[in-house]
Amino acid sequence: MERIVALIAAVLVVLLGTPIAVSAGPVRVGATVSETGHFATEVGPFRALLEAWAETANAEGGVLVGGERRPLEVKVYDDRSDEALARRMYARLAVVDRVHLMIGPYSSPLTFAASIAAENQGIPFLAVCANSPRIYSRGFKWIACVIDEAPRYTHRYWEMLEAGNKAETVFFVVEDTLHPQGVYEGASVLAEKAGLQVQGSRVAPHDCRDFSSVIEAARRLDPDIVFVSANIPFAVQFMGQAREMGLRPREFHAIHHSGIFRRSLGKAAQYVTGQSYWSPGMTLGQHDRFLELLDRSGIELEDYPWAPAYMMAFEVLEAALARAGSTDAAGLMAAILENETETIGGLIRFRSNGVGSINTYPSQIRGKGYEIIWPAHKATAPHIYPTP
Amino acid sequence: MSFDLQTLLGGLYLGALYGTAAVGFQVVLGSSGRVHLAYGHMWIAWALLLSSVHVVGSVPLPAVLPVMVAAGWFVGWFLHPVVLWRGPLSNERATSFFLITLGAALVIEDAGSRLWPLPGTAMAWAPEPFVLAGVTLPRAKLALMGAALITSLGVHLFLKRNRWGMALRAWDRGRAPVYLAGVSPESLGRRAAGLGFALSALAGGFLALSYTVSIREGMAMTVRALVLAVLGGTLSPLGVLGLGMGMGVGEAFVGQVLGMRWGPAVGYGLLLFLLPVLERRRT
Repeated sequence: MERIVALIAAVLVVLLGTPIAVSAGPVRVGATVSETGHFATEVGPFRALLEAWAETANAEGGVLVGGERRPLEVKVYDDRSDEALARRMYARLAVVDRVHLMIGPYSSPLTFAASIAAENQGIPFLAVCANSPRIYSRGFKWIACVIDEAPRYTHRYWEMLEAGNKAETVFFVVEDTLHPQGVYEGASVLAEKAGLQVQGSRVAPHDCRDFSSVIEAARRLDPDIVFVSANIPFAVQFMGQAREMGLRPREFHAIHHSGIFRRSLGKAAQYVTGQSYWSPGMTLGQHDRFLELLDRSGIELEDYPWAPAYMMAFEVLEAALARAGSTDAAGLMAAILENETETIGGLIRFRSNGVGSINTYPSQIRGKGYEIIWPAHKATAPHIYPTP
Repeated sequence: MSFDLQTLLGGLYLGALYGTAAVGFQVVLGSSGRVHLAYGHMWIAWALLLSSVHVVGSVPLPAVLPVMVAAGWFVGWFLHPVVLWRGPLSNERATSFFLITLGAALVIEDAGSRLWPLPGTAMAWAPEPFVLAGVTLPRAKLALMGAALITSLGVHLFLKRNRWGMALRAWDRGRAPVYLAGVSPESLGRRAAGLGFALSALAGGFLALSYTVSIREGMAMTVRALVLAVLGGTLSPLGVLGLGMGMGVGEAFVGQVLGMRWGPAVGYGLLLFLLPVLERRRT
């Protein structure tokens, strides 16, 4: 009996005395994607992009947290481009899925709503394509954003026009939603600073169908540039009608002019300028990995030009996890905000309100593709102006 | 700010499309006596179907549009006779009709948002416009407006001259006049539903050929059609088309004067202010 007791005691001593290797568990990242609804034109298939990110990270043994590799899990829901649903889904990500980090939904209105759930639960929330200043003026502590604020969104375009000294007048057509309004407010100031005369502007609801009066007003003023600050469905509707009614400015600039825009409009889309975050010639950050993610997810860059901004978010989060050394929320948030990260779109740093420093480059539709047209040292083709 | 001809024409084009769909809605309303809540969703679904088949599938328009109209007819013919049967409007029947069509609207919106997550259009087909005395005239929209007028005139003649059409108009006064016209109410219900949904398919095609559409606009379209059908009176296709064009012009001018965001309020305004006036005149 004594031998048995001694044996049990010895086993217990060995077991208790030996440090047990416990896996720290996966890093859980949550997001919603507008797979349906208004914003599906912009990010519809991005669930596959997020999943490809996790696959490539896990193929390397996981993401680095401090010096340890941990598996990466992504949880994605469809927000249907609906603000109320986005907010509910982010609350679910926090409470039910218990994610450590959140990647924001597409657009300013959805981000405005969804970030409230993150703020309430104290979870780091990295917004991607959501740059309305209203989001970042609420004093939230748990939000950061990859891209610069909307008013500066088009600053390189105006620099290009000023340098070229070609255009003198501009007329704005604006969709009545947060992001296009924010871009317009900044662009109208930047246009005047660049020496252009703002001849007028018209704001219309996002589901506006008849633009006759707007187009007629623009035609009378005969501006050099018609600047369309809108999401794709609105921009397609307006541009189709503008072409039909014979509005012929020297240039159309549509801030969202992806492949979906180009295909819907046919030849009317040729030479339209717009904004792009990245083109394959740029070799910053993990550009090779980004091309691999596109390949794995089956996403065409020209159809979904916001994919690079999501890659930048992945790069920021991986860098923050490596620096923070744990999934502690406060440590992660500090690691995001207080450090600079090299991304495919350049070096990103964050201001005290969480706004990042990444901005777009002017690009122009040529044939079936897009050319970066400014700044000169990054341009893949010269700016063609006026539209032939 | 001046009222200009271009704005007037823009309103007329759009209003003609609203009017065409509302004519179909009124036929369904006239035959069933009830508001079909899924009508706008079906209208938009046809538009998206045309844009998919024509733009993505590269099937020529002359082949797509007639097939779609025929499909609309069969959808009405096969799916609607039971619920469209004009029996005594008991509370249960009214409630079940409301729930069936509301459910159908939700199902179409959900299925549609998966089938067509992106807005659709087939407007790239439109030929170059021509300019007359400084006014730009888009050939495509002029053709569609003409087609809308011909369609409404055709339905008007059907209701005035055809035995089935006259029976449909008489149905409001009960079943006896329908039997007197030598027509079976069941067959009449099927034909009315077929005609109503064929018109929704035609209007959907017109919409896709000239504008961009999203499945999420379905309920707003039902409300527009309802406003026009109610204000247009009893089975009056030309009246409905005229009101539709008036609504389009109203939206355009209100948008021009007060700002574009106020345009869509015109329909509700019309209903609020015109309905009591029309009611007084009719009684």
